Amino acid sequence: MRGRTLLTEPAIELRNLKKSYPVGNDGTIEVVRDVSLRVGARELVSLLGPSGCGKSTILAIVAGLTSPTGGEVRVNGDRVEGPRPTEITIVFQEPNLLPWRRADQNVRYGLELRGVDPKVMNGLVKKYLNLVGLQGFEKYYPSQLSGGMAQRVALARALALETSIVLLDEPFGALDENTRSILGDELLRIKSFTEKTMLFVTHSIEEALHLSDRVLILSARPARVKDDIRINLETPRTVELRWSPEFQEYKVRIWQSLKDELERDVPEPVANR
Amino acid sequence: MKIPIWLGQIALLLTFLGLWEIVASIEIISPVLLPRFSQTIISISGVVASGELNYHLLITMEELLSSFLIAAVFGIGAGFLIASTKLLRETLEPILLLLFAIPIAVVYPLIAVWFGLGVESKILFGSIYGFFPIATNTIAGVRSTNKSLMKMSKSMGASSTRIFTSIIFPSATPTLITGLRSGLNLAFIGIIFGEMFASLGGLGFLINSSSQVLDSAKVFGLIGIGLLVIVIANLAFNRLEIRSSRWRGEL
Repeated sequence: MRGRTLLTEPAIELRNLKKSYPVGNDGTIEVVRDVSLRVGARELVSLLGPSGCGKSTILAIVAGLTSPTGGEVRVNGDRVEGPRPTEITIVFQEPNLLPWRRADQNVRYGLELRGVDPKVMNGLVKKYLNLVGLQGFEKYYPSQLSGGMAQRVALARALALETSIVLLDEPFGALDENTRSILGDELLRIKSFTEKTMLFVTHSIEEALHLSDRVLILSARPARVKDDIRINLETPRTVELRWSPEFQEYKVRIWQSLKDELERDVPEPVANR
Repeated sequence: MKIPIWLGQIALLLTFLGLWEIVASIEIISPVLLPRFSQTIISISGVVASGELNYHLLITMEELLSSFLIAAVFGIGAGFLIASTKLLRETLEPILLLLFAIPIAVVYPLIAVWFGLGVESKILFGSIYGFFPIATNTIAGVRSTNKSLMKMSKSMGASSTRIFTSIIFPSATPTLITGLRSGLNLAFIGIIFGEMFASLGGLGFLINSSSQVLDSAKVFGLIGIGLLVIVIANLAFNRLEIRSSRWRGEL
């Protein structure tokens, strides 16, 4: 069991968050309804919910990319009004690498935006490319990398900014099952010595269980927090843990909570132009 | 052993020139209409030696470079401006595409009246020709930018200026270069047309005056020179296109 002291000040706090989008001329679509949650420092919390339930929207709001229509987000006590690149980075489902830049230049990108000294930058790029296991691939273009490797570069780019909070929006969702498990293991390994706070969006129960300290179950759209489940599984967690009886018990419990939401089978939200 | 492609292309060219020589020498077509390749070469050597070609080619090159530069500056500028906001793009892009579809040649008589028979009217005409493909391709290039990259960049704190320089501009570059290539080719067509229609000098003027005295060998030779100009320019663009899209991976 991992012992953990929750600081009084949560790293991320959502208070009565609401988000709706205008649809057509007079309608609105409610994506997020009154979501409140707290993520403690160094916690890894998963948002688990049916696809299209608004979990990515929540993450985009925390990242400061979208503004909520109601409620607020606080990060380390401050209200989020826009991107906070020194505190938060986000990794998306697509690697979003700049295709005209080589792997190492992609990792440099965020540091260049921050105006980091070139010498320091080179050190950070090397450090984080090694950390994600890409030594030897520095000079590859994204078109020459596999999906898993491209996502590793994206992870290195985010980690190189050395923010205390990392948001992950289904980062391994586009990868095959095996690559996905391996990258999940890597993420846990990296987290174990970088002490980061992570908010992880997924629709895979197994992935959420494998990685999280807590799993928050979201309802079908509009999103509400339906359940908050602390995962007391042994650490370090390996892929093999998935076959243990405790893991299965959690899985059943989460499934039962999620099942009703999946059955509501709400269609994908209308893309907002 | 693998035969290089350029070798095949040269062989094809030589075969074509050889056939031309043979067909013309048996004179099933009157030599006034179809001179032999060798006659064409002799004729054009004379034009080169007398300095006549040099004089007219320089005029055409001056017009071509000037109109290309003007078209590039205004085309790229207008393209990025129009693409920058949704309102401008939705208002102006259809108008631009419509104007592009109009045969611009119809306005040349007016331009010749306004700007005279000198280089100015050709430069203006060539610029108009070159402007449209450059502007429309710039807009298309901006539109091809992956929105997710912009989101990523924004999340890392990029300003709009940095998003433009680090994401939008490089995304648009390959399409933009294609636009510059078409712009140059069209400007050349416009200039030659302008020179043939009403002018005092240039390659088009020379072609027109030679054809009026039925000097076919000279006309063919001059057409060859014109082709050479545009082939060299396009080869330069080929290199630029390859360089600018090397990141697309193994071809």
